[in-house]
Amino acid sequence: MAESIEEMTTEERLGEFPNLSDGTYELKSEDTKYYNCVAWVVGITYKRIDSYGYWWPEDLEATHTANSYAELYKRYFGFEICDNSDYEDGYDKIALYSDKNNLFTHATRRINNKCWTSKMGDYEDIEHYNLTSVGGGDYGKPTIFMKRKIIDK
Amino acid sequence: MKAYERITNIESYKQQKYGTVMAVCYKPTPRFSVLNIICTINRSQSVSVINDDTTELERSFHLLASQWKKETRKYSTMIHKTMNNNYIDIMSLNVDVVPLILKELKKKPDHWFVALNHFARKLKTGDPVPKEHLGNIEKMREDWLRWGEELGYQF
Repeated sequence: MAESIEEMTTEERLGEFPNLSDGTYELKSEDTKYYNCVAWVVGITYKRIDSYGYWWPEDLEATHTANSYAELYKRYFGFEICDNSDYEDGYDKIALYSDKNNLFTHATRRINNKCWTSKMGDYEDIEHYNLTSVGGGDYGKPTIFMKRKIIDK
Repeated sequence: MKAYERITNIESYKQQKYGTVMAVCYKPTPRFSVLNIICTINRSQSVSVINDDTTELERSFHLLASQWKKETRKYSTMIHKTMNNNYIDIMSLNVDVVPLILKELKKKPDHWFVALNHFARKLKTGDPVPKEHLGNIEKMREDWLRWGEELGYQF
């Protein structure tokens, strides 16, 4: 099995990410373990943020659910829960995914009105054109949407 | 002797060059049955270990580690990476697996820290990673490799 999405056969890639078909994404980095999707959506690339085993705020309950991560993004990164993933000018938007066991699996950030950016596990980060491309399989589906005003715009 | 055979007839070993078998220990593990003959007394009465399960442990570990990496590379969180059966089985191995994990970690960074923390508690040494290093894989890796060196592990 390849260690990067770039090296995977189509069959391997769809085995890992069932909806990540050709034409639905672009690779944007090398594969790395130094950061995960949780850190990536807030621009952090020097550490992993994780409710188990890596950095997690001491005053934040770690239930490993999307709710726990939503509280992280609210208290530490200025996001508020919203009711959709639509593009809004002047706002950062993120979507948090949960699996069938209600455990948090993935976070993605909207870049513009066309694209999202995701760090795919220990693989590369990618840009993809909709939320379903990285959903399905073990990532589940987006269950929480959040936004924050972009201050510098 | 294959590692997975259970010795039922100890007599058969008496004729071997190692002399009389003193003790046979059968060590079941969740996935593997590992046979470990502790020692024998040979014809001149000196004691020697005629088999240990290091090689089998290495084989077990590398098989589990390889499967674990393959099955969990897509996950972003340690809950999913450590719920994997292969990782659980690695943590069920005896503490002799620690230098094998450290050798892997020395080769390249990977998510071995939960397993190492588990074995550190078994060894009663404590977790060597300071809070300010949590999340920084390189710093955590250095902390654990230093911990292993200080305990005298060869890797």
